[in-house]
Amino acid sequence: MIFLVVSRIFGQDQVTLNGHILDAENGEVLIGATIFVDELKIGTATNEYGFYSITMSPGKYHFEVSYLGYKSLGIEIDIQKDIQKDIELVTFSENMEEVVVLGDRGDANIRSADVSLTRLSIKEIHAIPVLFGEQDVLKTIQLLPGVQAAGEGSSGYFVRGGDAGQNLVLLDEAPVYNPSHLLGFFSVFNSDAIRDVKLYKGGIPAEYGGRISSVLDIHMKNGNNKHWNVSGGLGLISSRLMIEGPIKKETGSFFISARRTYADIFLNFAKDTLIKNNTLYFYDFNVKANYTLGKNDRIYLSGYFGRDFFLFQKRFGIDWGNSTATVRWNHLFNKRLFLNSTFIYSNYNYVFKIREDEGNLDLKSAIRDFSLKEDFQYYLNPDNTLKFGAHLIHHTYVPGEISTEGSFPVNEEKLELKYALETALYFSQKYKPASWLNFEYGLRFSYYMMLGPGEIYNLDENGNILDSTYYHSGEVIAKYPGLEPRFSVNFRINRLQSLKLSYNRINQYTHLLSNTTSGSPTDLWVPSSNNIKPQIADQIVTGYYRNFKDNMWETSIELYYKSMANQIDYKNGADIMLNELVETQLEFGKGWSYGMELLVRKNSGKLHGWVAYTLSRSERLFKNLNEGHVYPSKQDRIHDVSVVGIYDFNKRWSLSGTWVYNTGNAVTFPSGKYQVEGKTVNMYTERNGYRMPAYHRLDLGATRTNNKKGKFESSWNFSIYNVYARKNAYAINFEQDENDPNKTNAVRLSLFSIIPSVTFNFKF
Amino acid sequence: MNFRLIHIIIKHIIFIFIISSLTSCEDIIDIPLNSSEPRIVIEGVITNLDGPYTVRISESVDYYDPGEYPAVNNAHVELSDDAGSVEVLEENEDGLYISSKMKGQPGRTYTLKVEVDGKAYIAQSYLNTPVKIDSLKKEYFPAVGNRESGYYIHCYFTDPPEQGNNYRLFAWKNGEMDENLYIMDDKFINGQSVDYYFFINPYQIGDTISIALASIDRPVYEYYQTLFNIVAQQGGGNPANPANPVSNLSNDALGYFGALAVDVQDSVVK
Repeated sequence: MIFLVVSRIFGQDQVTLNGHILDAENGEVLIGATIFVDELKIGTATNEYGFYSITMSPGKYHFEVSYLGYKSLGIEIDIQKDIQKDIELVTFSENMEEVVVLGDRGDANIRSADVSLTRLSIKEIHAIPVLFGEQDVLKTIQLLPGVQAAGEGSSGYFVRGGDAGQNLVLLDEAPVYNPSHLLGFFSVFNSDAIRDVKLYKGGIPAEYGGRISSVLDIHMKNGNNKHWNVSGGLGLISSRLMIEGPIKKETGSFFISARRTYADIFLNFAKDTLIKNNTLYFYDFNVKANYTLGKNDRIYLSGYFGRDFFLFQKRFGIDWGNSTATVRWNHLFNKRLFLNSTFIYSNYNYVFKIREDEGNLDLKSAIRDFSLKEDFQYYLNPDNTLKFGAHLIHHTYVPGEISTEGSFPVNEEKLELKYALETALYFSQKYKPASWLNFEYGLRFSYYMMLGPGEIYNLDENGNILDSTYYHSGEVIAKYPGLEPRFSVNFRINRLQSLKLSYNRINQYTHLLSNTTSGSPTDLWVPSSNNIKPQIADQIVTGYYRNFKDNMWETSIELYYKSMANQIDYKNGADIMLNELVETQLEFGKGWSYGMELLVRKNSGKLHGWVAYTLSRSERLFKNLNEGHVYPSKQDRIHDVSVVGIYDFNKRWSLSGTWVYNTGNAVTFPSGKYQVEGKTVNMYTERNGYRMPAYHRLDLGATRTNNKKGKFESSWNFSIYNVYARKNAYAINFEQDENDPNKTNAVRLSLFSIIPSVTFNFKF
Repeated sequence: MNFRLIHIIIKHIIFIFIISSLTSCEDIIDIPLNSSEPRIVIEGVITNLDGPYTVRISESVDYYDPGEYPAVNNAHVELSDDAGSVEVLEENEDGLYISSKMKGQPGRTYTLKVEVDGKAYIAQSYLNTPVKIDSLKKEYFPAVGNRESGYYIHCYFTDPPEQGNNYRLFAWKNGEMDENLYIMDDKFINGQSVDYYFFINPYQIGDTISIALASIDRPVYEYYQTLFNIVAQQGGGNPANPANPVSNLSNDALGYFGALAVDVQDSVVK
């Protein structure tokens, strides 16, 4: 491979055209926009920073520049030496609700070597169904095949049978530990601020690592660098505002956006007076600024800060949130070598609060990261792009810290902090040796170390303590190297069909322990250590992709098999709260999942949308759980269907609808009962031997775009969640009958019935 | 003690948070459950106080069956210590086997052997030296939110210096036992004076209080803890992955055999 690369370098004199592809109206970079040379039949796409570089023999060519939702632009350029040129594209319609999603992305799914990648550009995000007045990225990806919501009121999602802690979520390169607000109803991503979303379910390229099931890579807008804009929405449930503008026209820009819910409104729908006296809301801020320092340098600063609050009867509460701060610097070494350097600070914490007359108590858990990334992209020629780089993350884990105020009868305490260093080097090449064949291969070498200071316990295989050792600051407690090959290939059968194959291996060094069936913000992140090994996944995917009617219809079928080593779960009856020695409560085993995903998607026309169906299994085998027999993991959801439809009735009205259906989670129910000390006790046999009842729900929405008054644009959005008010089971409890103590019942708890919402969106 | 209190409060918070703060609704539904083979349930306790000691043997039933748990009669029940004494317990009431001669001696390890239908179920438990209650105090709190006004009891005792003490506390009000499970270990309070605060049920003037501090061995502590996990869930608690409690009985018997070293103090609320 290197040989082929080298032979190209010494070809005849080549010239390079490079620059950025931008939105003409606001200067935002377009990610994944393509520039194609008609005469040579070569092309390339812009990277996450809107940068493109294409190398060819000198000559006069017609370049076709295009991007989904924008008018294609044809340019004639006579290129005899290297040229740097930024190109601007104009959007298709002036309306705020750009609803026509054209097939210009066209055959991207057929052409690229990306496997199991779904990309949502800014236009597509605004064309998805709206819930509570917002277009939510997390809700949308859960409508794709292979991705499942962890459950109503839950903050996670599962990808291809993996659990909620196995998904990497990046916001402008910064990892986000809990991407949900309000128990999963809203994501932390304010869709006004998003530029581009990529979801990898498999075929994960070498520049990503650290989570074995998926990567959700989100890039925020930069801010309009031509003129000021204010946009926002006022709704029954939440409101948001965004202000953007130039720092220096066409050179630098910024934006600030904020969002807040007053979801306590939900609580007023409840009959129970116990529910009314509660506080439940969240807010978040996104801030970003960027400045172009010269032809070769651009600098970005971004920040996110968000928090959720819950206070019950003014006495007990939980609040939690993420904050991230990122500094990035794009540098062009020469026409073809692009570097992005990133420095990130990230903090995720949650706090339990007790507020009594005598005093207050806060119990906090947190995870703090400092991280540095150097990512190079070398656009050797249109058929060869190299990526390489180095990543480094320093983690600090705060498992529990108590602070008190007043005369609370508890001492201030702090569980010992833990430290770890996660590093990686990677290299990958995208290579297209022939028009019908392109592939990407890469290798990521990761190296993890758990560091002191700290008192470290050695455990036997049953979790019993053998002895302990004290490590000083910086001493290495445990180390794990990992070699992670990545490979994907695309055999293009013709313009409309292709066959793809991919394999990846990924290591995960930070683990999410959850003792709830659907995830809660209090799930615990723990580092790999002398007792906890890294999780490792191997995934093979194969897929067949076929488009119809000139890319108006996109269909695909993907089959995957994923094998996961060193999976972690809690022991039966584990003592997890504030446990200094939580490692003694863990069991280790392996897991695997496999499935088939079907997608049929209509990309253009008045009616567009998709139907997704996933058939899958996900199983686990732990020596000490379920008596050493294979059992289904809780996310083993056999059938999963999503139907999404958007109908652009006319220029003013657009309707959308979503219907989801999935067979229930695997769950442990009692198979009998007995009595101890006069109390009825449920008796359990196999683990996850039952299924929750099937979940299904219909959401509808309608958007009415108002006439534009000068610069002021506005629209109304009406939406209804769970239109036929199905009582989907959030949990099923088995308890004694209230009236007849001799009787025991299955009691279904359902969270959300029908919820209507109205939002007014504006922009000026 | 500190952590145990926080632990319990937080468990309550999570429960309340997830379940009752939202527009939730509960209703009884029909979920078919498998039948299961009845399993034997053995509950046996020996203490340092005078006997008789009891062993209750019953069976499990299918989940939707009425709450009548068949007693197991004609079991051979034997209680022995590590000094050579052995006693066969007589069936007194339906499924209830009682001792007549044995008296629990701290420092001894007791073995319970139950034979039914050719199968033997055996467990051992060590009877500790009882830890004494130093004193009881009552503290008045007015009604706040859900909590009633009344006197809440503090139980003071001193944890012995060696690590590895486990406790269960019992409380009676006017002869009726408080159903909550109060357990703790000395992980965070080893060798210290402990203030165990019964913060759930208040007492009123004129009530008689009885508090017992039982020292138990680790397997019995783990049984109570894992039993508590399930029973708490049944009340609608944190929906986690339930499993049968970890029993010290062999051969898959449900229940447990515990040697409890008890110190009791009585009082009246004045």
